[in-house]
Amino acid sequence: MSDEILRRLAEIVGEEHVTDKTFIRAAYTQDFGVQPPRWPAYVVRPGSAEEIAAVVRLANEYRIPITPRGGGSAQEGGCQSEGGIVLETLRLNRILSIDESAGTVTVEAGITFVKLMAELEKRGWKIGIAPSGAMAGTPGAHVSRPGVGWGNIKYVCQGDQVIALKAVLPTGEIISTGTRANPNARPFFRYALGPDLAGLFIGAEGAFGVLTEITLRMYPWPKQIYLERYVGTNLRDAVEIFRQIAHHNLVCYISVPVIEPEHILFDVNVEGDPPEVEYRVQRIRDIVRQYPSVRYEGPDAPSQFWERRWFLTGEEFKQGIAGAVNYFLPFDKLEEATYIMREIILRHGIRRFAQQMFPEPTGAEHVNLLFHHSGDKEEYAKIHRAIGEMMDKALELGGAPYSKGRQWAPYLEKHLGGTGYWETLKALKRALDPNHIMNPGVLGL
Amino acid sequence: MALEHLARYIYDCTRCGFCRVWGWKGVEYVCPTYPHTTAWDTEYARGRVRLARAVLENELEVTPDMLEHIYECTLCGSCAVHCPIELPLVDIFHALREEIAARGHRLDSHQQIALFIERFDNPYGPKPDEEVVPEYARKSQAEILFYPGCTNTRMAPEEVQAVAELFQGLGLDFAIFDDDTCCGIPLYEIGQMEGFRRVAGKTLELIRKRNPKVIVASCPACYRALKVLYQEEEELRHDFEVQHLSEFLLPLVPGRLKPLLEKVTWHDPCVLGRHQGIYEEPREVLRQVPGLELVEMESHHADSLCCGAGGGVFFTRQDVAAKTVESRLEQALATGARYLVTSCPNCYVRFRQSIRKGRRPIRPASLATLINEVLKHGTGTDDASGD
Repeated sequence: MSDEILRRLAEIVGEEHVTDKTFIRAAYTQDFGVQPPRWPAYVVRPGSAEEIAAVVRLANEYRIPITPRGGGSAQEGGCQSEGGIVLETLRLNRILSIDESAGTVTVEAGITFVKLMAELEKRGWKIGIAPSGAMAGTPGAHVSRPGVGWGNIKYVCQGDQVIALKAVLPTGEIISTGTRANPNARPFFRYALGPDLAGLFIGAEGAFGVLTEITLRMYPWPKQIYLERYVGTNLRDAVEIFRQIAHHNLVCYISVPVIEPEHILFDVNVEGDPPEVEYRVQRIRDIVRQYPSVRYEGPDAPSQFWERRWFLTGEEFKQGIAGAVNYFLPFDKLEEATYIMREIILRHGIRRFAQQMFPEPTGAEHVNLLFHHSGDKEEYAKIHRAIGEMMDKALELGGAPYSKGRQWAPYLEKHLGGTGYWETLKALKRALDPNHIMNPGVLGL
Repeated sequence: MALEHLARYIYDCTRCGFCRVWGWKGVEYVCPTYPHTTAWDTEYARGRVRLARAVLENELEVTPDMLEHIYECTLCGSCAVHCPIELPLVDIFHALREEIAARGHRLDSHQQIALFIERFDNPYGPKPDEEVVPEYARKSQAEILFYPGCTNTRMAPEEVQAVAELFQGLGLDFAIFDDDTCCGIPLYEIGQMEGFRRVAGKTLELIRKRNPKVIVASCPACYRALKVLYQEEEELRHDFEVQHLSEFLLPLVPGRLKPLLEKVTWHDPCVLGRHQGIYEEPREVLRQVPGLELVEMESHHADSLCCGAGGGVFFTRQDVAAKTVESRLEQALATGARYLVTSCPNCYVRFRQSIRKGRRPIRPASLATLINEVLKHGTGTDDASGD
């Protein structure tokens, strides 16, 4: 190895876990979205927090940027690096402890969600939130976005499930948060000892450090999981139903995978003990019954979907790679935003797209997927123009993206620049990452 | 198929990453070899599709290291059946091999396969002095021709003996192909199409001389070559009926087999199952054995775990193949079965080696050897090397 950085990275992680080979780096140039390729100079696969800390210290020494990457299955380019080090966490793939007393599970950052969930299910437990891409996605990446997912209404957001984090700071120190900050304590409570430093990393997309361990809440596997499907013809009515169901906390989640004019398809997922499920389903039906524009479609189709859910989430991408514009909006903005975004999509001549919604207790995740085949340069250019306009518009409407990556950076700066929040964020970045090496460019930092 | 004809699918890959690990529904790893490699993204389907794109666009120089990652794949097809957008991944990876081989890029181990086949028509080298096919099965013509294939004749000659006894026991008029020429699939799998066509043409000519009505093969790779791959090449098209041994035996064995009071598990060879959809026939043949209890491993049918030897990996990465077969063996042992049965000489030989080495409490058996034994006396195979 003639390259000094490569040689020193190999000393830290072992020769087989670092590369500068072009053909391997090629596979780390993109994620699951439409951001243009960015070529890292090195890819490194550390096996411990200590190795990550050493890699980070080396990156500071050489002033070379470092970008954490989990399964590479997000859509906004947060795990890309131009000329820096991509630090892949997939070797950190163990369940470290299942604490049935506290109701927490502590995992390494690079385990995939489905593996974690399958193991918990065997023991009669579950986590609250899982991403659609659970087959490839990792808790480290999901907390860093911070992801939402299936379980949005009952469990809200992956950030809300976090009890404790262990992270490597941009200068190489290792910290733990919550009760875990006390070396004598287990991770069992988040808001303890002092300010909630977990919040520094949740949603930071790696700008403030590399997550190495995550402690999430876990819950007893419900005795019954029941799903049923509805189809509506009026978006305003449908959103009003979502709002009422969410405010009364009647479901685990509502999934709205299809929003077309006069065709809004949604599934509700109810979990609990059978009498509780029966009561909740009755309450949902009572709400829906007030809206003649919505018809009951029964439990069969969503139940079949549920059986193969983690696999089938990938099926909609038969339409192509998606430029994703996803953000939160309050309930009373959802209808307007749907039509505005649809107008932009159609005006740009996008041929294949999907609009979706995943309600939360206080609003909903509004999803716009603009599909193309990656060899189609003309369609790719149209999608880029459209998603730029859509991100700008979403922020103007009062929307807030949860997964930002590099895609949202210029629009965040445009709308948030000069605010106290933005300036504080930048000050924190300067303080914690003086050499500006930790995933520069995400969030606009 | 040429790589450029698959460009559409290569560009369709969304990079979702579902082809790496599952840990769900009995599928621990989608890619059977990935956990036994250095585990870069180019060592399972998502990254290999990226490499196919790089080759297609002449974006990158093909290096020896890159060849290693391309040829670590067993072409087992697990990624294809677990791809949510149903990309024809095996076709893509084969076309990639075809393209890079056509450009003159070869691993050293491939040079040797090609050299042996060119010289001896067989990847294992010159024909040994000892004749594997019994005298009574070496006929110039017969209605039924069993094509044993080179891995059976060289690595598992007991399979050839067993088929001869089995067919004789069933009272069939048959011959066993004894010319030692390869079906060509080792060259097909590493993308060397010119060599494949040459040796396949020679084999087909020798089959034609025997003028059979039906060709039977117990090796799924030979079966696929004769039934499917030859028909894709204009100069290799033929009218012979080709059957896998399990298909052939199914109507012949009911009511004729003696009991075997043992637990048996069936390993789906990738080329027989995922590539050609033959899952039930061998199981149905086994169910014809009175008293036999057929149990499934954690992964089976389309989810079955590859033994690690396919796609030329046994020739190129024996270390990876040896580790991969252990994962499958663990699943077989977990069933508590007395016999691990398959009908693929590659899988069988790998299981046999691993079982012997680890002195595992399970017996490897081919479908032919097991059925031959229960046709005769119902005590099981003689190849009780596992314990």
